Amino acid sequence: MIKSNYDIVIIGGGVQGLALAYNLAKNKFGSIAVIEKSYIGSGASSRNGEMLRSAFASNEWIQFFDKSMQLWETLSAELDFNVMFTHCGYLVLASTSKEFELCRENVNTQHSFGLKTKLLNQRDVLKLIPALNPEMVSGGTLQSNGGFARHDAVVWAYAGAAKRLGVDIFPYTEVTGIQVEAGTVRSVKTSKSEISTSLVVNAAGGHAGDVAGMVGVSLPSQTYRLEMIVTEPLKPFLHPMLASLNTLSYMHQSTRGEFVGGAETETLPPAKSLKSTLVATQDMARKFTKLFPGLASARLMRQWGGIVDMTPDIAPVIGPVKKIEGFILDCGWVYGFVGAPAAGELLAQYIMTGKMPPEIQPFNVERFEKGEPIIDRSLVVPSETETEGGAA
Amino acid sequence: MSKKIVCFCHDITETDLINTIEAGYDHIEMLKRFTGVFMGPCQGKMCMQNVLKIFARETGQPIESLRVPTLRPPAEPIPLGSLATETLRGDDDKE
Amino acid sequence: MTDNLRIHHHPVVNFNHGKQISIRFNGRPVPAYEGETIAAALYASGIRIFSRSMKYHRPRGLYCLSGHCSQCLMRVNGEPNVRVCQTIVKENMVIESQNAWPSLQFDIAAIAGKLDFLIRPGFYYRYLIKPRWLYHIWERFLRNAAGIGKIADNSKPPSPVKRIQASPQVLVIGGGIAGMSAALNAVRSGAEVWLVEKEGKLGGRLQYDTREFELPEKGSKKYAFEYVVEMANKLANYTCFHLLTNTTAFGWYEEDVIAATGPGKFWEFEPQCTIIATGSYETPPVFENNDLPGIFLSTGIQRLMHRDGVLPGKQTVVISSSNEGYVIAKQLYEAGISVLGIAESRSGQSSNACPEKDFILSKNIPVFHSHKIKSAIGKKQVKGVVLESLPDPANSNPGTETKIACDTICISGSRAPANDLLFQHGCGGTYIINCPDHFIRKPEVNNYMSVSDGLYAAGEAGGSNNIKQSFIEGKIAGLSATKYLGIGDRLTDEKLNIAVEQLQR
Ligand SMILES: Cc1cc2nc3c(=O)[nH]c(=O)nc-3n(C[C@H](O)[C@H](O)[C@H](O)COP(=O)(O)OP(=O)(O)OC[C@H]3O[C@@H](n4cnc5c(N)ncnc54)[C@H](O)[C@@H]3O)c2cc1C
Ligand code: FES
Ligand code: FES
Repeated sequence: MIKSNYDIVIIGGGVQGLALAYNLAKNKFGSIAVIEKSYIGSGASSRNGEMLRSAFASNEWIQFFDKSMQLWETLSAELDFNVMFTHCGYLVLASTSKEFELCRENVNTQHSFGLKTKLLNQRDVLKLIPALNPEMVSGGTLQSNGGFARHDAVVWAYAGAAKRLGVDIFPYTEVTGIQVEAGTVRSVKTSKSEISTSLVVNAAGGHAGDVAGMVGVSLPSQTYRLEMIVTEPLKPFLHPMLASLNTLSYMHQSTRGEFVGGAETETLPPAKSLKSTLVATQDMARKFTKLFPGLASARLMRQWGGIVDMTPDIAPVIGPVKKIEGFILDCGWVYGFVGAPAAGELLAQYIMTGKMPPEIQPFNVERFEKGEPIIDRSLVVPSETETEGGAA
Repeated sequence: MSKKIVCFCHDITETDLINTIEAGYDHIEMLKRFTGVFMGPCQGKMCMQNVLKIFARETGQPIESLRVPTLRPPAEPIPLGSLATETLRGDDDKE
Repeated sequence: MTDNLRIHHHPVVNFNHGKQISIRFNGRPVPAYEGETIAAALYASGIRIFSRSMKYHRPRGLYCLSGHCSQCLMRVNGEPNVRVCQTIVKENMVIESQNAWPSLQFDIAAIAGKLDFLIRPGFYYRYLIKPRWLYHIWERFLRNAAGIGKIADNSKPPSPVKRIQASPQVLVIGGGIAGMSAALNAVRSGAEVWLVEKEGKLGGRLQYDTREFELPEKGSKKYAFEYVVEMANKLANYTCFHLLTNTTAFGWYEEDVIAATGPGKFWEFEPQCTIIATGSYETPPVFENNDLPGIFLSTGIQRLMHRDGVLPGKQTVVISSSNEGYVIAKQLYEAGISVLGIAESRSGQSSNACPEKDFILSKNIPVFHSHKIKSAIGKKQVKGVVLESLPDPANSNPGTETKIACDTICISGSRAPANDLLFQHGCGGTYIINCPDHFIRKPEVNNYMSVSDGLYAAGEAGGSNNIKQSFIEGKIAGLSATKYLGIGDRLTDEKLNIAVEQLQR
């Protein structure tokens, strides 16, 4: 039963909303409700590429995500649920000399922040992954503590731990409106009942824009669909996670042996649909068989799409908005899976103390108004703020 | 006791399914994700009927009340090589 | 190598085994006949275990022979995970088993079946958390054990596949009796019809079915396989009929394009009308040891016997819940197998008469009414079956077990519509119970087989459960399509109404 009043209502039962709920409850915040319109984890949180890394290229990204990587190390024990974090390493692949130069620069930056990444030359990469097409390899950067975890398990782990600490989670319940009076949040309307509260968190993933619209706030982000494909199980041939700068794609081999990959198909416009497109399917098949010629005879077995809320600089937006008191953003996530443990902990700190932790401070929403986006040149998604060649 | 395999591809038994539903994974999508049913090389062709039957029985819902999900391609496993098609004129695929 | 499972004389089917050739299986030569499947050659040479299951490494044998179950995955000429029941032999083909060491027959990893608690989903999520090194060891073990086949070792990316975009007036997907019936009724009005068929020939599963029956307006009785050959021949006479065999329509994508792949070509269809006639999958009941080699689906047995000319074994028990059990039992008997019994879940009273049942009774084959299969006996191969009686007024002791020694169990399963494409497209539908203990995913169709404007479903894909119905549904779909295209004549309506009436009868 939904109570008529909660100290905080979190909209969205994805990994972000649940991680925040868990951290608030752990710190004995008060009464917490998580409202999810479908089943727990039905959004991007259980449709993503499961990739965990912190070896990015900018100060802001590295600081925040490395904090998260540290939390990942002990997440299973903390939540008492095995999230199956596989430490297989994370390789960013360079296919051209220009990309290799970029890797070299990034490694230098990463070292200055204390990350233990390694620059690999062509031979090293091919030794690590012999199945790669040598023509697509000029080197790369390896983060050996990177890897992947089972996305579903992470969602269930957070939900289970949060529930044990008294969080009320309401699946199959949709938020349909938010009541604001005199610039302050008063209540949340759901498909089941109305809840009075003075704090609302927008963790609605690809629907964050709609939820912000309920209080008249327009976000700088847009909803994009990302698609993935999975092949029939193959014996191990791809040990680390792999991101290819050249083809803007990311991939790994699951614990069942399936090859799992996703790519940016640049021609696709923003979309909220979860359907699969033929353009993206062909694009991915071309890219993956180019990287791994042996995959030509591997059969596509499943595919899906998921939606993310993408900002112009691909970085999240976390924290309050000026206009509405009590409305907090936890959206704009494209790397929201790896980022969840840190975002949950730090945003909970902010909500409890009113003080913004330095690791998430840069991700405030005002940065776009001020024209100060965060530039990171190691992302495998095309960012609008990048000038040179899109991706890097 | 001998196993009653419901999902051949992933060796999921009737007991596994019952235990999973009892543990609270009572949405068909969660049951799928927890156990891996429907996700093997046969794409659920061999286990779909039986899993749904067990799911309906264990959760006390009539089969007719279950929602038919939107399915996704591919209906058959297809070699990636045959999908790696040429690009047609007008495709703004950049190489 | 014994050849005594090869069928040389059959009362109904004539076999012309092709030229004898040789293929290699795990390094040794195996004789084969040109034109047959790898599965047939291996089975006839005595191979029974075709793969090991992914997790527990349980032995698995031929099961569906239709490319559905994926229990016959092998490495063929360096390509992993090939369904050998769907792949035709070629001289000197190199076939290797996968995922078993040292051999399929004796696989050390089968110990996993005994340590199963370690790899059950409920186990690994809940335990192996602390100490962390324990999980790392387990994870490494799990990752190394993962997968089925080894990735192929090509070193060059494939050359791009040719893309063809086509917008035919009518696209029929599936060349079984429903699809052919639809195509025939559409080409007669002069429509340009394209038919996409996954297998090498038109006919669907009736190609391998030796039952006799009579179709409306056709006069005399014929064998099922004769009907489909006749229909295929008729279609071949129409110049507006275009057939794509070995071509699989696998996706209906968001762009509203139906994607299909065939030899060297990739098709992107945007038809004016689409008729989905993709048939169904036979699905089995669940019982103890239900994955043992020697257990077959009835359509698998039909393919093995009537397509490949190979017997599944010497002695069999048939398990069924409908008259289909008698149909397959008769076919097994005619092929020369001892049918030791038929277990059917219906009681004596509710089991209606049919010619095949009369045949079975006339041969004194025992019929176990109100019985289901409890378990299969055997470790690596079927040695017998245990039947169990169900509650029924005529059965004084429900739960009584009957053991029968046999080498094959033939499951006449229920049929699940293969209507994936329709639901990818987002059509409406529900699960409905269509006979006791069986339900199907049924698309919403109107009396004219129409799902929406220009989209039709016919035959088992739409939920039909008998041949005549599939034939008539195909006809309705084909006529409706011509009407939709505006190319029917005044007879179209008349024919349509007659067909719709026939169906409702
Ligand atoms: C294909 C793909 C690959 C990805 N790969 C990676 C990766 O490798 N690494 C990585 O770190 N990240 C990756 N991501 C991104 C990552 O999955 C997301 O950033 C992250 O899951 C976001 O979590 P969330 O909880 O914010 O959103 P979601 O998981 O989308 O959760 C939002 C929830 O809100 C619910 N909701 C929406 N509106 C309402 C409403 N009005 N009322 C109630 N509930 C509502 C939705 O149903 C949904 O469950 C990927 C994403 C996709 C789609
Ligand atoms: S039997 Fe379950 S996916 Fe194949
Ligand atoms: S797929 Fe070959 S036997 Fe089923």
